[in-house]
Amino acid sequence: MDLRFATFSEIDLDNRTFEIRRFAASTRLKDSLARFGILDPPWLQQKGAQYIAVDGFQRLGWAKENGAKGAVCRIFGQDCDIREVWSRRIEKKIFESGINLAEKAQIMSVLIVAFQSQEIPSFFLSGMNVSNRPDVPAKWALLSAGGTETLEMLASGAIAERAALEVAEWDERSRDSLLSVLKALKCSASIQVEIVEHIREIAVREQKSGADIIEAPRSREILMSGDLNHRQKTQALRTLLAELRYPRLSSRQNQFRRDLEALGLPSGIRIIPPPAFEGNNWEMELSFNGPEELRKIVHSARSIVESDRLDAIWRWDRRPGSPLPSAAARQKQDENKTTSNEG
Amino acid sequence: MKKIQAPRKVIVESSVAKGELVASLRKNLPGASFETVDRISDAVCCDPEILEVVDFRGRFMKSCPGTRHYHCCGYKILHFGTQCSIGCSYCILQAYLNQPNLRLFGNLGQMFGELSDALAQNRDSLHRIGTGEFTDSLLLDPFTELSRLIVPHFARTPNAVLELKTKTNFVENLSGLDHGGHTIVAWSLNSAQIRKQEEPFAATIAERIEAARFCSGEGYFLAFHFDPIIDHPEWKSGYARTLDRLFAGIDPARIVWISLGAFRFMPELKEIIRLRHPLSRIAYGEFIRGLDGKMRYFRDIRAEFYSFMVERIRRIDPGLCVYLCMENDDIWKQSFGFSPEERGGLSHMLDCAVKNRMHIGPFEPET
Repeated sequence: MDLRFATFSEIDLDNRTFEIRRFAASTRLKDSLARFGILDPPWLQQKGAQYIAVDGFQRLGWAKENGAKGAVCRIFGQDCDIREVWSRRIEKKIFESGINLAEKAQIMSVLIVAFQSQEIPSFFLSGMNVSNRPDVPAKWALLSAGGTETLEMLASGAIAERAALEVAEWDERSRDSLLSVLKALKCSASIQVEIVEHIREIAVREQKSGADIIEAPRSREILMSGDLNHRQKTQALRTLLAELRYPRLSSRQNQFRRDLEALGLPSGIRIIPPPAFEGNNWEMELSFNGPEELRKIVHSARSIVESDRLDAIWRWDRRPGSPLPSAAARQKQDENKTTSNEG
Repeated sequence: MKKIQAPRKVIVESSVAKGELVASLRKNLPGASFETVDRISDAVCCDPEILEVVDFRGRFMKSCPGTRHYHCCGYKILHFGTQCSIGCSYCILQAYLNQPNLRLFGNLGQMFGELSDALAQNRDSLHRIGTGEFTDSLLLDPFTELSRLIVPHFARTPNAVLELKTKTNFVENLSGLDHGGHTIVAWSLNSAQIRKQEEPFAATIAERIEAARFCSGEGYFLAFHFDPIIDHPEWKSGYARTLDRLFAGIDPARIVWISLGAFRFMPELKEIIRLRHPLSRIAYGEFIRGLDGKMRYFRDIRAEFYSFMVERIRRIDPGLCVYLCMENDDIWKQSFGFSPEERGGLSHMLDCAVKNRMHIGPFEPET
């Protein structure tokens, strides 16, 4: 590449063929230019009698705005292969620290066109920490094709990469709807993935779109709430999605909670079922501050533990929602039991 | 059943090239090319047109891969090949990525030797042996004619029964064999909707029942496996209809057992189903991680499946052995009202079914 002074009359700054937009405001470059001017020459490629910009769009724009006649630039010859120009452009971009997801999506979109999915040089993929699974470049390209709104959300830094890739193949409405939710919730990457997976699986199962789930009244109520902060919204949405994804398990868990409350165990005792009620490994937790309290808890729990009421928790064939035996019925049962024991 | 695509290329390891299995394949696959190589290495991707015949170096007899958390039927597997080209969406064989092609073991002499040794070890107990764990028992039988060797072998073995499990109707080779009442031909059954959506290349329910009728007419005993039972809209009417069709077509007295197993899978299968069967919704049920690490339906759902099926089967034949595949006491009690331990254990229950229906056993202890 030759180093040459190019005047702005020779440069077609409207040609954005090689532009990779950041989609996120940064004053860092502007500050540096104001302080030191252009340190690293922009790149141009000759096109007929003119040049087009390859790298350094902002630097060239700054120079022009500040009254410069032109700038010292590195020049690719007209005959230089476009894949070669793109390769260098991308290598430089990756080499600079901190490309955001929007830039990554644009780069992958270029690479997939320039090289075909299977032929993308591995150093580009590893340089950007992109998996070499055959479906991944295509997902990035889909995100890039999502347009300004999608790219701005990706550039915001609020969207986790895995979550973004999960929604890449969604319809546009669902994708943008979910990305804006994730951006607002500001939750961790793992929680984002959980939310995306739940929404996707609920949508597939119910043959709906992701947007149908996100924009349903119960979800909207949480997301639009003026009383909840972003953490509370995240937790409320996760709970709602878990209920929708696992309706019968959630119903059983709620039933179990109600049954425990109805039993009236002393406050220092907790009965903990096995995870998802699978298996027989139940636990009981006792909390107390000394022998006196322990005696009290055990004493007050004794009648409950010895009564039939406890067995009802393990009556799996009870439909969720059906109550434990009523207090009166329980008392009668206990009386009968006492009578028969005496008899 | 849609005619399965016959392998176009058979790759054979040289040490088994002169064997009986390869001879049958050459006879029954006249349009296929045969290539002999020293050793077949693991393939990277699946080629459905290829059949591999290897000199198997592992153990032909395996135990059913049960775990301590769930009751296992305790049957033994006669391992004669791997993979299946029927392509059911839920099939665990899809996860065997290093050996994606259909593969048969050509060293039959060693296989029968190991089988005979295993059967000779405990002459006073019943051996229930099946071949349908790592492949379909009859999928390649039209080409291999393996059933013509295995079925008579069991006829000569007083303390063993063979169970051939299939989703095909490839039963022609079973005709006229001397089975001695020691072979059970078994079909996996499902609701018609699941058959259509998730097992599109398998025989239809009607074809399977028709094949079972044919086998019954040939004097074979039968078994049926509602496994995997899959949650879907209208599942009750779907499974009830299949049961109705089964009992309308088959004399229950010929059925040795019916097993029930709700869909369960290794977690990694979920992504495979998503990629290979994007229209399938089966992986999005209410699955929780079971005690064995596999994904299973939440217990209430499983119990509801089983209770429903058991009640329907009991109405037809209260004495028919129905069992649950890989379930715990808790679910057994809710579905049947008892646990296997209360009946001497699941293995004992199945041995009793063989005794009662097939009149095989008990066996005198050796002196």
